[in-house]
Amino acid sequence: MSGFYHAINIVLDIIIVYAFVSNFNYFILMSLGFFVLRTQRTVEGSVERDPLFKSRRMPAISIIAPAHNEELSIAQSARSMLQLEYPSHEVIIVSDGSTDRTLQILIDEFHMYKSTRQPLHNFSTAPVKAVYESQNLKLLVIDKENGGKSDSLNAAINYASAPLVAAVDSDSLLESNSLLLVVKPFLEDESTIAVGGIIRVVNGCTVKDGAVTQVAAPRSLLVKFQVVEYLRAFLGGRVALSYMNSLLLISGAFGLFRRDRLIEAGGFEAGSLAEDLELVIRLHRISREKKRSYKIVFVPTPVCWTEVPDSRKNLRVQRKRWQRGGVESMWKHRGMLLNPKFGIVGCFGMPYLLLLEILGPCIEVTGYAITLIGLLIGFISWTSAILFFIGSVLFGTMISISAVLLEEFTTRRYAHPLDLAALIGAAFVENFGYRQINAFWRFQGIFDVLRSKKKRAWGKMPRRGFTPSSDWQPTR
Amino acid sequence: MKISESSRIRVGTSITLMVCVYAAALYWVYRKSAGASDPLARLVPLATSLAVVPLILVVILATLSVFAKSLRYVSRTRDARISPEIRETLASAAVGDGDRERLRWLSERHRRPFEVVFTEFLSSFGGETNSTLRILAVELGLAERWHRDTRSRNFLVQKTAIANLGLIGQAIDPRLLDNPLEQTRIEAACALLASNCPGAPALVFPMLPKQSPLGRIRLAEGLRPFASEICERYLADGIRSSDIRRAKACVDLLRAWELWIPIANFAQLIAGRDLDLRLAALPALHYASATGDEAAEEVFALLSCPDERLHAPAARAAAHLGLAASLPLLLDQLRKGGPQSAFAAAQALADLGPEGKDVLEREILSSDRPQYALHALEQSLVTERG
Repeated sequence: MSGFYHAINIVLDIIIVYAFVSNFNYFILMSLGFFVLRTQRTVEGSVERDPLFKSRRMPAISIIAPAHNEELSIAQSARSMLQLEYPSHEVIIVSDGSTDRTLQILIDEFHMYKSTRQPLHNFSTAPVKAVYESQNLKLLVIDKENGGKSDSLNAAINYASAPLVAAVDSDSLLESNSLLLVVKPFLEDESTIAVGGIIRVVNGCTVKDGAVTQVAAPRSLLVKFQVVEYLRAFLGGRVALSYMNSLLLISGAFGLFRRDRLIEAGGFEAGSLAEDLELVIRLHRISREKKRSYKIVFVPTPVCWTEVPDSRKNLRVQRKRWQRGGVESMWKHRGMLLNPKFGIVGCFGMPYLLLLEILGPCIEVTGYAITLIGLLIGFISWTSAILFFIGSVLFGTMISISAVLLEEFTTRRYAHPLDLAALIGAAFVENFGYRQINAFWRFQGIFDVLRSKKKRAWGKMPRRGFTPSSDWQPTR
Repeated sequence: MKISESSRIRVGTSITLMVCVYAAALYWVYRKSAGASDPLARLVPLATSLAVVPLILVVILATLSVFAKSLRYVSRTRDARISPEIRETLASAAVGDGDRERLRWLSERHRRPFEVVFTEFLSSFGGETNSTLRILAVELGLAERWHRDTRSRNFLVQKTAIANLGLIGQAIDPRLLDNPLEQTRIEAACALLASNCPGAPALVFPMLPKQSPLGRIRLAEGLRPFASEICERYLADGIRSSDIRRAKACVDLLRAWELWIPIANFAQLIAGRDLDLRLAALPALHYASATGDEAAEEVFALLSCPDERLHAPAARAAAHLGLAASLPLLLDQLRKGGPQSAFAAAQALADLGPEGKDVLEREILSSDRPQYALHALEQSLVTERG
């Protein structure tokens, strides 16, 4: 029996070392993110924005937004996308077998007619039933049979005519200047092939006429925890990974891609649960295999506001889906792992994804279980337990608070000091319960992959929808 | 924003320094606790230093941040309260009958909101009001302050000061045009152009080829008021230059301005070897050709060339130039081309007027691939009906 206890202690020691190393890694990335953000700090004044908005030399953008039963928010989202400040953009919304009034609302609201428009590419997708065009706006609606999110994105790419394609969630809101900001890396460096913007939590904010007019911290603690998580992921992790050109994820809610590279890569992977992650890894893979100079960039200034789950049930479903998607993508591209042929992506980005994002929850949950049982039975020393606590909880607290501070030192979107205090409080509290539950859900997600649970094409989250408006007028 | 090499070095140095200090602190704690007999017990102080020390630091920072945010909040609220008065006093002064003393007091006492309102006014008003505002900027000492700020090491302060000087038409230090940071260079160039300083276009125009497409877009807008001078003096030479980057930058200017500026032998660009230059020049063809026929031969050659990447822009160019003789080539492209070429050919035929539409109608009835023709006609009908 003592041999077993000894083995358990060794496992716990490994977990403790892992907890410290992973947290230390997060800490370094967070610090790197801070220094990078400080150098990138920029203010987009009208002096700079106006010439870009007026210029005829800005590359055209096709915004593609898949929708499935989005009757609550689709009209508002479409308006918001059409009103974006950009000299030349078209909006393509795909109704992916919606069974509610999504399609009808769009047809009625935007005076759409059935069009004979033909696809410009030939990705194979579920059959398209009809295409609708607006009489006076650059809006195209594709009505197709249900095929999932990736399938809908591919259907939209087939009809996209602009050299840049922005993949956007139809239930999210883009800030009015987001296109002007997200396109900049393409214009600053012609080797840029994809750019991601920041995703922020809209819950708690005031939305008027398809725009966020007042940024405030949400009331629900569960949502506050997610705000902290988003800040940590975007301002800490992605800024640093982007700096090292090993960014593996551009959120499906808001990403801009060069259309030719999207087509070359074969579009989004049909049936994937993490089509955004899988696509970006594939873009890295193809570019590295073809020995091209390329950049995949994250920029923190263009904002996409999204509604996050406000119930534990929905959050659990979302997290399990993300985790399953991550495992699938990792497995599909496992050949890149520690493969020097893929440079920093293979030697740092992929191991980072595997060890910290995919295996992290397993190791964390195992650690909690062993520590708890060990303490109860008495085969684990208090010293080990304290070490584990420091490694996983205190370090985690420090990183979460740092993420909120990073926001405060750089972008400062929350105006009221009470919002900042509330988020700092949430960053502290999330380490006592929420983080553990989240790790457990993600662990379940991995378990589901191992059990080969049936995939769902759309990871739907019930939305409350944005406040409807009545006084909207098209700008062009 | 693109990270410059110097910024990269700064980031690298900062992060290395931070890790070194952190590692040294850890080592120091570990050495101090090395006396403990239990190896596991030795790790506790190490872990504590690894996590608790930065945690305490972060908590202190968080407390200070909340405090600082509260101060900023109060200051912003105060700014919001004073802004209407600033706006009112400035508006009166701008039309010539304001209380200058009060204005001076406001500019000194409430510097930030005053500058915000002042630059808002500068961008919104032209003519005589703008001239009065420019004089006011000098009188109130804003110009002097902004000149000082152009030497600031803070990139944001420097950039804002340069932009503000541009708004009041004050000449800036031409050395800023050579700044290693592109944003500063572009801001300086735009400010120089806005200042109407003699010779500004001559200084800025040669900068074009070396800038990123983003920089070129901004410079093109800044150079727009000097379009005729640029065209007369530099553009033709630039376009004929053997330096591809220079030629491309000049073509970009033409496309950005969308002005009809006939340039002799412009069509030769689309017959050249460089694909990027050809693709850039095609959409500018109708601005730079004196007559459509002048470029006809080159466009016809592209419509029938084996490189399909050139077909769609060539079809659009044919439509812009109104080349009725291109109908058979466009029809061929509509029938045999890939989706993008066929789409562009159908649109071009629809844009070529009744003759093109007749071709499309016949195509709908007779072709086994009528969909592109159908869509082009449909679009044309929707446009006609408004």
